[in-house]
Amino acid sequence: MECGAAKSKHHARTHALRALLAWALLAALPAPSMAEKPLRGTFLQLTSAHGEWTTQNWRSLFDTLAKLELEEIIVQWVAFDHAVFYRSATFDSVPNPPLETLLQLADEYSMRVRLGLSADSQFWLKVDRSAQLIETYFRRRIAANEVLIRELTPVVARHRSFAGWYLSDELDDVSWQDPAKRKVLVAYLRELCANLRRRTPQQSIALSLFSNGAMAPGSLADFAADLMEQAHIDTLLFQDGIGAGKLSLDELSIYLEALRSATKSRPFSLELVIELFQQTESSRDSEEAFRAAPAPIERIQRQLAVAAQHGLATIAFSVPDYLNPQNSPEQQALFEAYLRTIKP
Amino acid sequence: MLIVSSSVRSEAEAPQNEGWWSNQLLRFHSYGHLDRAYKLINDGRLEDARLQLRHYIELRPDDRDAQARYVAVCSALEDYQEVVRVADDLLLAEPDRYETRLQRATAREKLGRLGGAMDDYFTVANAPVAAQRDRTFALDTLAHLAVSTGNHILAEGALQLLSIRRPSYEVLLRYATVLQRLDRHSEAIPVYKDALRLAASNDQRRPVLLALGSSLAAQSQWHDAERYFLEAYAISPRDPDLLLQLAVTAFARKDLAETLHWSRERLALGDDPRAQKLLLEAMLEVGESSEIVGLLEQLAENSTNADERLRYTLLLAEHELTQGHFETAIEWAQHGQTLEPTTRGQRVLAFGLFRSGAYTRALPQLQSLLRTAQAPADRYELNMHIGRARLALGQYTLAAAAFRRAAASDISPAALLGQAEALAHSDSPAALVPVYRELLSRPDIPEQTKDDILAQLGYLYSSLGDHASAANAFQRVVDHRPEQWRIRLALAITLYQQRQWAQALPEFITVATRTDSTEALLYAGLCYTRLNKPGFAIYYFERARLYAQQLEPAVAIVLYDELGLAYAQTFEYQNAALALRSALALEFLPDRVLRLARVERLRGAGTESLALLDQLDDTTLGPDLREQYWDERARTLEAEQRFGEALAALTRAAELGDPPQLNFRLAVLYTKLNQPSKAIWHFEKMTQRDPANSQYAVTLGYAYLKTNRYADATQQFERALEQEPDHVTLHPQLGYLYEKLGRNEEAVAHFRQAIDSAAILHPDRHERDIALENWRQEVSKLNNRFDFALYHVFQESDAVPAPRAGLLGIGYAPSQGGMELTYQPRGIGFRDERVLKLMGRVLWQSESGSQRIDDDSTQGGIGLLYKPLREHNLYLSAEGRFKIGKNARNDALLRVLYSSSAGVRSVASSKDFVNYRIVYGDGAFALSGDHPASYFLEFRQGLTFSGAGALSASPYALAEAYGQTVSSDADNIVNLGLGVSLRRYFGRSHYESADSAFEINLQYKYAITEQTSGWAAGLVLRF
Repeated sequence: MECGAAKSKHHARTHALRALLAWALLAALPAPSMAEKPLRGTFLQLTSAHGEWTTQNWRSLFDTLAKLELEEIIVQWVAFDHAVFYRSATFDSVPNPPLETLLQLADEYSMRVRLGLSADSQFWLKVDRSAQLIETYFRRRIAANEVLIRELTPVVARHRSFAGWYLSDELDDVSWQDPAKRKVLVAYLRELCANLRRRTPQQSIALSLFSNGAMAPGSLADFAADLMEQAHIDTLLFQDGIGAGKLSLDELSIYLEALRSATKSRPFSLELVIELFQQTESSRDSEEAFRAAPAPIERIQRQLAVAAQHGLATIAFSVPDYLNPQNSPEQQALFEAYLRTIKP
Repeated sequence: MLIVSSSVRSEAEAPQNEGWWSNQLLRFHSYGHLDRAYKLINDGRLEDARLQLRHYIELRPDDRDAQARYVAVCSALEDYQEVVRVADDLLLAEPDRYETRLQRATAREKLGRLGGAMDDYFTVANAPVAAQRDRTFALDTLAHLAVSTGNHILAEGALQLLSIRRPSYEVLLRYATVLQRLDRHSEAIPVYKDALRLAASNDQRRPVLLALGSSLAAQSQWHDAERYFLEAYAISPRDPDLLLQLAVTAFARKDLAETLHWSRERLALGDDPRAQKLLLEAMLEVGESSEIVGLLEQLAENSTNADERLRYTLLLAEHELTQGHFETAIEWAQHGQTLEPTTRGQRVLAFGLFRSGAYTRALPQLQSLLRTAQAPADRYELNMHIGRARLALGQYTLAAAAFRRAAASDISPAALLGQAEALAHSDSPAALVPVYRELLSRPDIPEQTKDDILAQLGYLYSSLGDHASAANAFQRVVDHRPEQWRIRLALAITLYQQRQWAQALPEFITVATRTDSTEALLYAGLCYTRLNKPGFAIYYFERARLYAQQLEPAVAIVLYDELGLAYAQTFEYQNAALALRSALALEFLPDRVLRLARVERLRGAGTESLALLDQLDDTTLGPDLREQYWDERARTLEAEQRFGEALAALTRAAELGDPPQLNFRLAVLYTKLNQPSKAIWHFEKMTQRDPANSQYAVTLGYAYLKTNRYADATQQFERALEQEPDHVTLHPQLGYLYEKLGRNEEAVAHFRQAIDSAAILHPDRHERDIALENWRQEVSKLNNRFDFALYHVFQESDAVPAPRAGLLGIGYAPSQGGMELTYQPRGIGFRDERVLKLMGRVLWQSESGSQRIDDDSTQGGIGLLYKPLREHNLYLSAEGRFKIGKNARNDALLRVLYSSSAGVRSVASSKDFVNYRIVYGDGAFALSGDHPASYFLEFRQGLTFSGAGALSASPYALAEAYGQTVSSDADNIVNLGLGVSLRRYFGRSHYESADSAFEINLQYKYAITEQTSGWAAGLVLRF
């Protein structure tokens, strides 16, 4: 989600305000109940460090995911800038690329895996330009992803756990308001998805979207629905923005209502990405690297309650980073609290 | 009766005198009188009897008995003077004559000499030797006289004795009454009760009950008193006194209803001031005013006592005052003052005037009262009224001073509150702050009131611009009373004014959620606007718009303006226009018109935008707006393609200011109006302003390009690419530019980058293939150094002219075969599409009637080829020819070659077929000998089909003309025919086109002139 991507200046400016808003409105929410449904899946963000993981490390992570009874893993990207996490004939892979191991273990643990394509750390800077330059940038992205898709197609065909693709380029509600840019975006996604369907016609495609409160709820919902329909994308993952302080729970609820209404009769599904972290204030207020801590269980309960209120399945961002008992005593405590209070 | 009994008693007890003779003589002379006297007494002729006795006494002055009888007769005849005169002497001589003393007591009593009478009665009453009956009588009478003279102590003593001696109902009643009068009620009460027991009838019971009740009432034993009064009432229900007592008792018991009842009962029997007063008091207590005025008026008018009349008058005035009948109160108070000027009356008058709103008249009265008032409470009240009067009169400073004086008495915080109110209206509201603070520090103010004061303090701080303190004050109220939505709203607004949007927002949302406050919804939207969340701003503005009809126009305008801006910010110009039109309908403002015009333009409604702008008179606008007006007009006209007018408008804007991007827009307009030099001037200014803007560099580069300033263009394009590598479209552009400038290596480099970026530049495959081919050809052209070509033609007969090698060939005047090598030197060999080559070649013919090469025909040549025109494929050639075969020539040859083609280099991925056309001309003139000259013209039209790999086939129809002159002989041939060209290109690389090719050309020609028709085939190899 946001961690790997550069933030826009606009985002940084409004972080502190959102935090206060979120705090104030969280306090106004009803006490959490057991109505919330547990997490359905989680994102997994591959980094160079994963190149050093042993199979045992991965197995340990899968054990954790199994204890949480998660069904799906969304690998956020299989390539990030110049780091490639599968054995590629075209690109330089990280040492001991983890993707194959990950898919094998998912087969073993009967979990489904959705694979993200390549991600670019310069994405937000690149899309903050003229439509013409964005179009050029997107053509580069298509070219890069074409190679990646071609190389991954035989790999994923060997694993029953493979459940589809995730478009690593996240969308927001600021960058695409200009109709000219939106047109470029639609063309890009349409071509990218067409390439994916050409190679793997049966596999679904997911896209994630987050909001800075820049679009009116109805407009955001229409934007998302039109995009999904035109690009033939199957699943919209809406990031709740609670951890990053982009939205309050009340604001999230307003958007979800609009999104549900707009997607009701459309041929794609809507799921909610639950941010399990709490971004630090300093990290929000500056351009420094993303820093966050695990969120309190009470807040996660509220997030899940909102999801349940709107009948949405939930994907965590992310269990390996913030709900992994092997990471720290803090996460161990959160993990146990989750098992105690939320897991069925 | 008394006289008779006394005389009887005197006669029976008459004493015997000494000196019998003298006595007998005296008796003789005197007894006649005495006897006659007795006789006359017995006959009832008392006057005569008195005469006889007087004579006798004159005769016998020492006869005390006779004197006693004389006294008794005089007493009977009510000659009290005589009684007293004679009795005085007698009692002086014989004090124990109690009968005579009683007679003298009676006479004294009758003569009004009560003191003397009471002395006599007292003496008798206390004389142990006196007859019991006389003593009782004396006591009885003494008591009576004591009561009548007000000597109750004496009466009490007498009656006490009497009650012991004769405890009758009457005595007891009198005794109790005297005790009661002596206020010895506790002693009177048991005596009354004794009397009550002895009462034989209701007539006797009634006064006792009444008196007993009174004593009990005096002892404040109201319930017991009422009990006895009620017993009396049962006996005598129409007793006015009793009814009054019952009213008094009820009032004392604070039973106001009973008081009203008994008072009214009493007054039903007739006027009674006491009952009226009771009724009045009771009515005052219960606040029953229906009768009170009448009652008071009655009391005031009827009272004969001046004090009482004044009292009732003032009471009436006060009552009217309390009832809010101020005019009447004033009248009564004034009336009271005419009766007697009093402070109380002035007070009622002052307050009446005050409360009736006659503040100007009230003030002198109040101030007069204040001058004499001593008690702090009075001074406080008067100052408070003065303060309020001044407040009402708008004399805020004086009002504040009055309240301040009142506050000095420290009686009530109301004075400080009044001072606060006065200061709030004054010119120095800042002075309010310490007042509010003082109020807040007072312990006698309830917390809830303190919250109200805090709220007021918050509003004050807010009005003073001290929003931080205001927020603090409001926050304290909200902490205590979170449900105070108005204060929460004020807190939120204050935070908003402090630009603390994030803190204000949840307050606004909470208030909006709980109260549906349109103001809160509007402010929530404003917060989101400031927080750069226009999406939620729109959400809340739209919710507020549901209540727009209820909004004040000024607020509705804010709503529509902000909603319009939020929509514009999110590119929803249609909605933005609707909102701004709503605002404009409420208030016409030039800047709003400008905003709306802008939005209309942005949504593509240029006509509407211009119509709006036409509503403005630019001469009436301020400098800023006028500049915006012309700027917007220029933009709209430009969008409407009215560039000339747009330029004029933008020039007007430029005269008024220096809008952002002015140079850019002027440059664009000049470009569109085909005034490139002016456009360039502005573009250059623009790039100076913002040298880091790659887009500016691109546009300036294209402007240079348009004016053929290629070097400058390349400089800008290179700069743009340096700043933004994604300007990939510049690569082919730079390739061509460098080509023009003869900077071939740089041109090649950019063509190569264009080739690398082909997928980005041309998503469409077909377009991409064409572009790639073109760029590769350019690279090939630029990199080309050596070309080699070999051809040979096979023909059915000599009569059939050989087919041209076409563009692949090299021929001049048709030869049947040949080979050619050219060298294009670096630098001068290729310069802006102008080409210079060194050429060497060998040509030959076949033997007549055979396909064998005729060695004797072999001709060598070496020379130069020059392409002077950029756009046209026209070559000039100068060639020195030399003999190789014996039939060849040594001479010099000048040639002109021209070709134009389409569809020759069809690429594999192109469409199924493309148009194939070749126009070729070749003219030659020899400079020696008989100066032979020749020409060859050919036109082919057909289609090119692309096959697998790099193979293509082009069937075509042809027309050709050939001629030569040798000396003066001319020979011209014209043919029509059909042919097909099969070509296979090879040697293509990633960056260069496939210039190497092998071609088979098969033709059938039909001779129009005398030549014979037939087949011909040519083979060409080139690399």
